[in-house]
Amino acid sequence: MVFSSISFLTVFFPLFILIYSLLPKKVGIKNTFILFSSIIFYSWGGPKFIFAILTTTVLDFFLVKIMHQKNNPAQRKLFLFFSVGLNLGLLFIFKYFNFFIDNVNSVSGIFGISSIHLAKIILPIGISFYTFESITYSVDVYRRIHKPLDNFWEYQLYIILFPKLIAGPIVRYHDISDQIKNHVQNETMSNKLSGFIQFCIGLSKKVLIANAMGEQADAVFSMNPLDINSQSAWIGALAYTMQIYFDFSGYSDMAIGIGKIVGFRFPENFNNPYTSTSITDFWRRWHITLGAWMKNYLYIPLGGNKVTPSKLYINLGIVFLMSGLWHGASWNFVFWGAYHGFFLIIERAFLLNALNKAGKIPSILYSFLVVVVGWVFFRLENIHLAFGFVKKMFSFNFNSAEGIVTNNDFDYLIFVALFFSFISLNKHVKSLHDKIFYSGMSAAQYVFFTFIAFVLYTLCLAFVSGSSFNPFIYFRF
Amino acid sequence: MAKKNQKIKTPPQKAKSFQPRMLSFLWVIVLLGLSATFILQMQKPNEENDKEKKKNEEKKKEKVKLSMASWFNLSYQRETEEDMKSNSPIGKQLIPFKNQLDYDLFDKINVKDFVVGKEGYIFSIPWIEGYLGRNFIGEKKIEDLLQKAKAVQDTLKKKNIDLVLIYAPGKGTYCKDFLPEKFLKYPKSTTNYEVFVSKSKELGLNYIDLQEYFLKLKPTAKYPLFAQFAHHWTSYGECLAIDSVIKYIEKIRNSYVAHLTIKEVLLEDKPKYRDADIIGKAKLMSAPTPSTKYAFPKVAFQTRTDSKPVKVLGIGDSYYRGFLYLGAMRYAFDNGEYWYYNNKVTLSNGKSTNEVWELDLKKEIEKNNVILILYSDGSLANFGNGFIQNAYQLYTNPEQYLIDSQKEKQLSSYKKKIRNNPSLLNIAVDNAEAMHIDIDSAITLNAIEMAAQQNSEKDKH
Repeated sequence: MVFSSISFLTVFFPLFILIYSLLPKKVGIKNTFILFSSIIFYSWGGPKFIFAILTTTVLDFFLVKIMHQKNNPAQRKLFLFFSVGLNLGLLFIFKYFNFFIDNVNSVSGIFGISSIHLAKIILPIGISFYTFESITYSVDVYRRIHKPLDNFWEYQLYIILFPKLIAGPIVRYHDISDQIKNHVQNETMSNKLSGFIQFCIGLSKKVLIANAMGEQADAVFSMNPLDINSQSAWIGALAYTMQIYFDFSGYSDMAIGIGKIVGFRFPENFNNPYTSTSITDFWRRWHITLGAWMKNYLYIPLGGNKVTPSKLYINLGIVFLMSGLWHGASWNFVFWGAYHGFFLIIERAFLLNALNKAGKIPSILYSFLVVVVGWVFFRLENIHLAFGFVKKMFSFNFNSAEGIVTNNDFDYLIFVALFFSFISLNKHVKSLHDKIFYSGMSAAQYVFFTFIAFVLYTLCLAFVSGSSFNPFIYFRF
Repeated sequence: MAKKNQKIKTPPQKAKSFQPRMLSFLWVIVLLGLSATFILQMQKPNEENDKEKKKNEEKKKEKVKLSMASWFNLSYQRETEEDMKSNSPIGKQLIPFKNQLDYDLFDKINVKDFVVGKEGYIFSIPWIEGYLGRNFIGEKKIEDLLQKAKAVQDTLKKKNIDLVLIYAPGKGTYCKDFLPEKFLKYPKSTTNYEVFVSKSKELGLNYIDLQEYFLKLKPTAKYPLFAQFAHHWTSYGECLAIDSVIKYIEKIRNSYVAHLTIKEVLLEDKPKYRDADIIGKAKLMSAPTPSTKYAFPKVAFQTRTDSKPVKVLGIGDSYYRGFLYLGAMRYAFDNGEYWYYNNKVTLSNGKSTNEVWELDLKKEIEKNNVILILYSDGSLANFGNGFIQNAYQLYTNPEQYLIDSQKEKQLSSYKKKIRNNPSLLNIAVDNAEAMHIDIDSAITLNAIEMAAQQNSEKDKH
């Protein structure tokens, strides 16, 4: 099920919230209801895969439980290997198998070896997210950061918890393990209301802004880059830049909002990323939970910062290649990861100093430009087309015959999107934003923002009813 | 002092107890609001009139029922989602609200490929491109096609059948002064229409240039020939077009064809029928006010018992519909058929029967006296949609035609099968989503795969 679908907004969400609010304040009953709702939520969009999740979680749960009981380090490592191997193996089969075979075929074709037939594999929704969460469970227990859950259904709830199941934020086990048992305590009225407000803001980001940006981006990116002029290429790139941010951060806001309503505190996933002053800074603000996962479960095990500079650069390269590959089984994602990795390395080497000297605005412009160009490689799977597109962006060809006619709503909403992307540079707005999301509001502020949230909710319902189905970008991953 | 202190402490305590109650009250309002959304969604829609009721009943018959199969192939979920959007009371209220917002705020009309121009004039993008020459297919392609048309025309003439090509006007050309400003940045270049007309003349084809005729009439026409909020020519424009075509047929057949006469013209402030086709589809809360009055002619056909009927087959885009609606197909064209884009067969009573590929082309052509191919300037890039090429092959290389048409029939039958089977259609929808292509292309790809499979099985046997 999709948060921005009419079935979710008018049936699932109201029923879930209503029934949940009427249940007695007992964590067992509430967790059972959330688990049951999560199964329905996932089955609605991916009925075939619900059994795959249920089966792997059984295996994972018991492997980790046995690992925890072992004291012999070698045995513990072996069980960790099995558990992580199981998760990564499934991810490989579902997500990367055909990509792997495709590349093997390309190489074997050079030597005249007959190609291997590609299997028809459909990617289970959200597999990249819940695989990473399963890994945090195994690794956190292995590292003895937290003991495993005693009850299988609690573990199942951690994995399948519907708000964050499909597109994150990636919630690490040790961040949520205690909440599974005590989230009911956090079910305060202020949390519920601010959760509802955050949900409506996220929904509006997706429905009112990202969809309009997406429609324009699709129109440009479906054309051959050779047939468009530079202006159109920039419009497409900018539209996609705004689409992916409002789409993904909108989803995260909705997930965090629903979590708050039921007493969970999910980590924030975005912090005004387009106001970053460097690519290093960008990765502290964009998809924060993926960055944290990569740091804790890949970068640090590789040696982290405590290595020679050359090894450090190699590690950074590995992390960003993996981050790119995590997004999709295609070379364009690998390139996108490498592209960001490259800027991160040169920033570490010398560029950060130069940016510091240049000042805030030039640094933001530099980062934004790098990010916008990067999104072209992210958007276009065909890497040759992506290079052609970027070339067009910088060819300064303004032949009007090769221009595109933009959508009327895009002409206005692009400014709204840019406004909200950069407005946090203003200190007063930033403090208001932090007040809404992170600290308590006064009663009058709650009344005002709840009213605004309701207006946005109704507006979004109208836009969802009157538009064709539009899934979230990160559903593919 | 103590009393003073007590007094000072009291207000915060009151505020503290007030805030939780206030927040609880707010949360209850949120719950009530969400419950109202759910209740509205669950209510049965009010069927506004009999027509809508009938339509919904027909839909219900086709509705996918909840079953293991429909759940696992997602057809139940897809249909429920669609149903909730468009057929629920909440959807029925909110869709026009959203459309109105788009229209008022952004001058945006939510009908695929349509845009709003100056003074509220609505245009179809392909028809704007037709005017600007942005969909020009090239002189060579047009010449090749028309040479084939000429060969077909000559062959059919020997069988006493006339082929007539009709170039209908497009709204982009006729109402060019109202085109959206954004499109005017494009330089105007050679158009399909210009080359079609010049080549038709050069090759000696039978053709009627209704575009030129309409543009000549424009300054003096009694009533508008194109409507502000519609895509097609107006009812009055249709009358003029039909009249011209009938007279042309009479001339080349040297035989009487029932004449269209306008008995009366009703002038109305609000557009209706085809004169409001796009604004009607736009589903707004309130329709915009038109700048002119609308003319609705009441027509009759003067038939003669002493004349031999002329059976006319029309192949055309949606502009040909006027021949159906005003009764020309029935009374003037001897109940001749209309092949919409050379695909769907429509009878003179408006009912759709087969698809063209299911018919015997030779038999169908030869049971008529006249074949009309009518396309307006926005759809000239696909003039005839394969009819001319098929007819050319049929009469010049019948053996090859037989082989090719068998292949085409096999493919088309699979396409039809996919469209009529919810499970197969769902697979196509999934493929379309995965491959980022439109559903029609995904259906074609799946049909090719099914046909290839059938052929390889045949080869094995």
